[in-house]
Amino acid sequence: MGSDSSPGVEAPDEELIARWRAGDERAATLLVERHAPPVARYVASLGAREAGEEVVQDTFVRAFGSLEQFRGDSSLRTWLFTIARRLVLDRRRSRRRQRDAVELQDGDLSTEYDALDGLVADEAARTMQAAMAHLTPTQRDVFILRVNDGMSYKEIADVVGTTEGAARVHYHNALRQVKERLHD
Amino acid sequence: MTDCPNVEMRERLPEYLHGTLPESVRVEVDAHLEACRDCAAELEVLRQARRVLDAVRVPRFDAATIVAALPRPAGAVTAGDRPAPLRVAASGGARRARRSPTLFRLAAAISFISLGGISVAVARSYLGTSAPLSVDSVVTTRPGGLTAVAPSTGGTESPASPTGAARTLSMHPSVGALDDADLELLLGELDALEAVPLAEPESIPGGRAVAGSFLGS
Repeated sequence: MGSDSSPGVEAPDEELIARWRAGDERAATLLVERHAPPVARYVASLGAREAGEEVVQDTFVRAFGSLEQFRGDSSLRTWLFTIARRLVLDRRRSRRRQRDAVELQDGDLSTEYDALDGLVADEAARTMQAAMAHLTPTQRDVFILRVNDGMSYKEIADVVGTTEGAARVHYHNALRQVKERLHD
Repeated sequence: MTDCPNVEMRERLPEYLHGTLPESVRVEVDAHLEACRDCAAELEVLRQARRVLDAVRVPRFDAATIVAALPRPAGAVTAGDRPAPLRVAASGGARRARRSPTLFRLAAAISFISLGGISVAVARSYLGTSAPLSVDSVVTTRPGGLTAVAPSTGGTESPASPTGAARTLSMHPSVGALDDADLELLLGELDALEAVPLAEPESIPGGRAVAGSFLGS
């Protein structure tokens, strides 16, 4: 990570993107250092433990390879999360195809979510882990983006590929289910 | 656990958890949380979920490795990725790239005049007429690489029936005015241009070779 006193470290994403397009290598480094940690956390929270490092790198390679398409309508972080999510889902589908599994659908993966396996020690945390594992993938995705990454419904809708209203409904359904399981 | 009927306040809890609310709104939520057990309990659920998610093993990454793998933007010039000098050809490119623009202009002019002359010759060979040439002079290449300029025929001579006068090439006045040293220099530069076509002129079916027609042979 770069020092906070480094020039450009406080520059907004749009400025760093413009500098990168003009050939400033340092701008790319600042963008990666700024966004790679949350992207890595998000990738891990999706349960992509295998090749997580590769997914993080591929996310940036794809994003920078199509920066021309980035209009700035959403934040760079949202765009990176969108790409990372797609990569994780593609890998998951590919893996399932290799296992001659059925098409990826909501519900099918509710018992496959293992991002938290063996990582929590106390009973309350284990209960929370089980509660989140029983959410549908979309509910869990929305819940994580809202609770762990503090995203707005608009940003979540961009990442997940749904509407703002649907994202809100998914969040409240997820929260209700988690609460119910915690108090069963 | 029941849900607080104040949906607006519940919607603010994730931002409250992340500390991203404006100060005035945060104070409002603080006050609400003191009075609302449902929202306080919901906030505790969110905190717990975040703690659990924080425990996820995050993949390691190296920023420098990622940056090195990034596709470079088109047209960007970076310190470590400067474009190679423009090369005209694979061999001898550097030598050609150093030539002055004047030589290229001279080569272009010679090519233009040559093509014009060849075009006239081709037209005449097809028409089979002794129409007068409409150009003052044309450039030919004679054995040995010496470049000369044929004088205007004035409409009295035809490449199809060459006369002695037509076979005798004379220098163009602008070239003839050069002294020996200048002429040598010019010829040397012209030879260095390598502007002579590599391919032999093709014979026209039912007709004569373009070059032969042009030279009157």
